[in-house]
Amino acid sequence: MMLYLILLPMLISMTLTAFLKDKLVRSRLIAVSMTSLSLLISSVFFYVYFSKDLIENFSWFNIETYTFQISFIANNLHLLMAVVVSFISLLILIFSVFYMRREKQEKYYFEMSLFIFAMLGLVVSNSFILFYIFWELMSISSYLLIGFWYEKEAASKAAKKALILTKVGDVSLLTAIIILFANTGTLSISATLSGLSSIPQVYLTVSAALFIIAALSKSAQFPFYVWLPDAMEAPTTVSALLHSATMVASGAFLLIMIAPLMYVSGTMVYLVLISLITIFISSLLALESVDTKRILAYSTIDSLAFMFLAVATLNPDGALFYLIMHAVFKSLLFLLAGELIILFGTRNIFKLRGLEIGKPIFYVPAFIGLASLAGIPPFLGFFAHATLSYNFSISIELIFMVATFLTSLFSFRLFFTVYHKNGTEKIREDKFAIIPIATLSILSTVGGASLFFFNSIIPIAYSFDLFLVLDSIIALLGLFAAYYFYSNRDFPYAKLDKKLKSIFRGVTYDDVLASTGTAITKFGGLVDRFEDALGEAFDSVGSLSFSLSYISRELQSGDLSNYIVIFIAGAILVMILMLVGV
Amino acid sequence: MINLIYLILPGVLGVIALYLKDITHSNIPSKSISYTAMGATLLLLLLGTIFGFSGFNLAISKAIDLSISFNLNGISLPFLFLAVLMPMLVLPSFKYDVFDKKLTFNVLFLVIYVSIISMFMSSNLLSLFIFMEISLLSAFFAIFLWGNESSFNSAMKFLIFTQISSMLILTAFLMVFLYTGSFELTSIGAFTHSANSIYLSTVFMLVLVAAIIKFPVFPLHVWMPGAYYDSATSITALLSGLFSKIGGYILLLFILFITPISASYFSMPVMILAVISAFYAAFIALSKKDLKMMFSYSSMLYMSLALMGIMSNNAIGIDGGIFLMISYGFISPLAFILTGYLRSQTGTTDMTKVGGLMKKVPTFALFFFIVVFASIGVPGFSNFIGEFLVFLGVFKFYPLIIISIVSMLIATGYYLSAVKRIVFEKFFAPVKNLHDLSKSELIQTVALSFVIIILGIMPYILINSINLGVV
Repeated sequence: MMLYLILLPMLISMTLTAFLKDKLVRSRLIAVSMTSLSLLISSVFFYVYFSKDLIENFSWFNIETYTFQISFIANNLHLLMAVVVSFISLLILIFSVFYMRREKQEKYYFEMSLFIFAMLGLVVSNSFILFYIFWELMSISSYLLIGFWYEKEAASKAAKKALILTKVGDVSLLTAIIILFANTGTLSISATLSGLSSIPQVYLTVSAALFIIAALSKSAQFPFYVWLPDAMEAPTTVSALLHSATMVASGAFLLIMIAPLMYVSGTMVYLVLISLITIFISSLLALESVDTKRILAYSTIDSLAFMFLAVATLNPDGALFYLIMHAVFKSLLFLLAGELIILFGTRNIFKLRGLEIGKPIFYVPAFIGLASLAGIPPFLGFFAHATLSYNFSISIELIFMVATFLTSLFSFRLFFTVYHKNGTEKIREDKFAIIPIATLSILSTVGGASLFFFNSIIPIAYSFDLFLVLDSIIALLGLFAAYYFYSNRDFPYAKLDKKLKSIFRGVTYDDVLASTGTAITKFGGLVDRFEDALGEAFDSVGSLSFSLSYISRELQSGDLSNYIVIFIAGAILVMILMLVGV
Repeated sequence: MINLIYLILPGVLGVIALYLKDITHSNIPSKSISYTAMGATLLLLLLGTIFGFSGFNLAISKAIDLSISFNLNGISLPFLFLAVLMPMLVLPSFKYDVFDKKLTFNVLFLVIYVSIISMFMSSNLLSLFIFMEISLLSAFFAIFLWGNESSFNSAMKFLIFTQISSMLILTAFLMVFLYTGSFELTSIGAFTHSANSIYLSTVFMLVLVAAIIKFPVFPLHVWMPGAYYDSATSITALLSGLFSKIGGYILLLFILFITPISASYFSMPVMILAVISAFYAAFIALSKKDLKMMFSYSSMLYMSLALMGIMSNNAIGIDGGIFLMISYGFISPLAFILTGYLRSQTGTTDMTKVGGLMKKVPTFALFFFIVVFASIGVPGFSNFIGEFLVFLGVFKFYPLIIISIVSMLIATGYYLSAVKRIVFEKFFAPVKNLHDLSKSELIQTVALSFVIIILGIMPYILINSINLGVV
């Protein structure tokens, strides 16, 4: 009951940060306290509704016989996501106190509160229209946050690109919702999922395809992945929250939530294909990037593709577990990148290497995070891989092992490039930065154990089989390969990087995207010229009437002899006509 | 019980007061008289929604069944709401372009105001026509007298096109009169509602062509770019926010009450036309470099979508079309107010000559964002509801037409390009000293945004006042 209470604190935060000046009440205080409140409420609800299933309906408006309802759902899956989202958001907001202290506070905390509000709403909504509303609100807050430093041309371009590409997904999502609503008469997700048999197969397939397109665009998969690396123009805390842990995961969450619909639609084989393509493109692009955040962005695309692969192999719960665990270690990695940016002022891995960062306080959490990403035991990623790969066929397992090698390779390339020698720099540590990083690092280390009792929350299957052992060995191989190639940064490395760059220049199809945009605008220009021609055509009709009137005006010449001539001519004409017999 | 005649009384009294002011050369600013009149009307409308309305009937000529009768039919209330509230919020923008003949401007404004309200309330078709004509003729003068250099041509084009559409409408009304012997909407409805014949289809077709001219919809929209661009800011806001609904309103009267069956025959071709028009407008808006032109074509895009919804032959689509019309009737004045502000501050509305405005005038940027987000259908703003319902209704009618949703993508494209050009990045403008929105502008923009957001969150305010079955 009253599930919207989870959202209410964030709504209050939004209103307060929008209208109160930071000098009056600190925006960060409002945001952090409200997010903690949301976390508290979600946890309470999670506990209260454990293993129960509750749906709450509110009637929004109705037209004749159709009722458009807003409905919320409380069950383990959704409330767990609410807890996770609010927890990660809270940690990142605490880090923001450190990271954003020199920026415009109200705007940042307003936009973050808007985002958290939307994300929380998304995970507890049971109504397609409500889901869409929050989905769209997330796109908008992402646009605003990516364009936070709007004076930089790169940021404003990235924001526009992100919104346009995610809007493609939004439009597909809306179309899918309309298709389903027209066929079932209800907007409720639970009702639709239980009534799948009443929908004609063609609509099931079309709507599933549209849902997949929506998820692909939001989660930056092939072919929509180009917006995410550019979105790294946003402040790093934004990248940590939106573009790694939560918003981009909402695409995977959508597919997990409507898994029954996906599985009867017969589109899963395409999803497997797309996920595999994405994995390889992103891993290879990560290998040739030199910007910490860009590498992490590609790694996010990579991890999301893992989740999609799990969903596509009929393992949505495994995907969910990976989603939650990924949020933990990915946000940790982004926060670390953010810390490096604030303390050392650069994102370029070579410049960072030059600064000789070697203190354990930097590289220990980095190692934990990257090891989780690569899947090295005993960190979080290893356990996540166990459940992720439950349904993999042999061929997929083999491909996945290559993917693991690549993932490990680019992760530790990042590690060994940046953290090089043991430096002796004096850095002042900020408690707002330490607390979130420490929390997330600890979780990444011991969190894997949660796999064993996760089953009581959501039934998941996992197996520690030969494949998993081989996989972790390959991850370790990647680590050593990275150490070999990149730890000693001289000649061999430069050659490898250059070669990779030349191969993959074409894979970021930015040029294609830009030229499509230009082509569409040029087409608009053509239509515009047609419009001008149309206007002139109508104008010529007008001038035609003027010309006609000039000519016919002459008839009223005022000249008597003229009139007599016309009169006689007319009389003769009439007589002829009468004679002819008209 | 508020008698509907009271709704136009303040306006009429306002016109008389302005005339008196002219004679006595009093010092009361004309605009105060206008505001008072419009405010009083708004108050009366609110009282009416609480206490109920009662009809008004004044027979002028029994022979031709001409009477001024005001009665609310099922769809009047949303349009009345728009017609009463919006002009008041648009009037302050006259300060950008109206430097002389202020009294005349206010008179024309009030005349337009009163005639459009009367039009939406009329249940006698002939008086409806008369009021419509009064408003259109006043609009001609309004466009011409305070527009820019080429406003005479644009005003003439506007006049000729709308007069053609008025002739078509009059012909349709006369044909209905000959068929049923009455101009009264209720009696006509009883007669023709379930009838179906070539005669009635012709009637509907005439109204349809008239509406296509008025909305405007491709291909009879050529008057629009000139008329919208060359007129004063407040007049453009009125044109796109109010006048474009007239065609829709009359079309709706025919679809719902007079010739419903004939209307259903025309659904498919008209919807295809509407889809073509939507894409047409979207592509042109994409290529425009001038902000005011972009907003004009954007208005055409949404009107085409509304036409699509209205012709979709089901309640969801029709409600959606009405909602979209009303919603955009608030968004587009906001857009034009912002372009008027931009022109008054920087001297240009060309998007290539201005940039980075967020730094200097953040409040303007905020409302520009609201316009953009509201237009592209971000939930929380009213356009989302309208678009959603329209596309849903259209899908129910014929699934493939949902392809029109791609026009929303193109709209996003040009709106975001506009934002990127004028709001983001480095600041540059022909004039360096920019003042942020003044108090009167702030009142306008806040009030309009407020309405847009309220309608977006609580759409039932409008939807519950629509009753598609009742005349």
